[in-house]
Amino acid sequence: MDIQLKKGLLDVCVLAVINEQDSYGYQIIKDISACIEISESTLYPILKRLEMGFCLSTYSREHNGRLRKYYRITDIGKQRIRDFHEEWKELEQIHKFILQEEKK
Amino acid sequence: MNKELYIKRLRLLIRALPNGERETVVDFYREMIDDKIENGETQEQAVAGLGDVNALAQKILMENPNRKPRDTQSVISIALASFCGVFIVAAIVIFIYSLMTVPVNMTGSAQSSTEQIGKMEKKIVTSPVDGVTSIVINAENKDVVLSQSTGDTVNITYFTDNTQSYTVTTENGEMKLVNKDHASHGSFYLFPEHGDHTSIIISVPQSYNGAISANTGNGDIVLTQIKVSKLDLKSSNGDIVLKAVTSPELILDTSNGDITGSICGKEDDYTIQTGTSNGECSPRSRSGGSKKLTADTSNADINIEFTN
Repeated sequence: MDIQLKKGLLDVCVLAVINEQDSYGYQIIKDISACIEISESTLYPILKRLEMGFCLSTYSREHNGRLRKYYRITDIGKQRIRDFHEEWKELEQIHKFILQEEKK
Repeated sequence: MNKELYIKRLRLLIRALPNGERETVVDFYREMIDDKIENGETQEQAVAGLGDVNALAQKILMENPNRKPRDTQSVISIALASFCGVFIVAAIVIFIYSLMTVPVNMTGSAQSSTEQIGKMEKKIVTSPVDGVTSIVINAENKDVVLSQSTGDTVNITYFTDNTQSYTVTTENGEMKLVNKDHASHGSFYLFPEHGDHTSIIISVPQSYNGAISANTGNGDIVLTQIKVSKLDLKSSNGDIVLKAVTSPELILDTSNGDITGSICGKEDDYTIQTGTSNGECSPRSRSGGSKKLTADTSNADINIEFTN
């Protein structure tokens, strides 16, 4: 898939995963991998970008004698998912247009 | 390669990143390895899954704009030198230098003044309070100090030399400062704190009733006698200190810094959500008030009191 397109989609995928419940790096990768391949080094900048954009907040919690960082969606993050749904409708329109043009 | 060796190599390879960012990155990958092992992988498999440590470090450095910016610029300069000769290079160096020094883009009625203090330039940007509905401070590692001013302008004061950049914009009522501490020459390694010591100072008149948000990596955020419609503060490793702050909505967030101080008002008026993983916490969370206080820290204490 086009790398730019995939990049934008992954942001929303991460938000969708933590919208279910607060999650941590390993689990996020596991959840997203069910649909689209994502590596640790791809996830890190996404999380950082989303945090900088106030789409998610973070906190650490003890787990088995070590700290694990959790990510929690914010209202801005939830809005971002809603925006994505709207944008997707526009994309569908564009796709429809492309199909029509091909038939001509 | 075992886990500790991998982490050690990674930390070494990304040493050009600012300290805070480097540790965040290292913590992220360490946690990944730990979680993989916990889910049944061997140490070797877990580490191998992250790929070659050199390639990983390369990728991290490529993605991070905060690393030594002059490296790429000098590479560009050398390339151009071989093509175009010394003249053009000189022009480009001057151009780059002008980019490095404090771009200030302002619209509306904001004004800026400069004063030379030793090697530092002291810059003050002022804007009439009437036109400002929100103040946004995005500091990489600096302390952010907010206090009440006597006049009727919002003033942002900062100190700069050519090791860092500041951008101040005022647009649609938002007054925004973005600060980046660039590394400078080899001194970056010898004195990692170089240039980080000077605060960003904001003074706000009593009549201001807009929002304030501030974000810093390793600096403290201190507010004294400020009245705002919404407060959103975040520091990774610094403290947040409130002194007689009035606001119906406060969001305070740190990873390793304490959140302390006083809010003007009654505790009963607030719906409070406070949380710390490894520290002490006062007040406790409660619901029922129409105003909102959210304070979160991972490893430090929360101690906020209400005063009249």
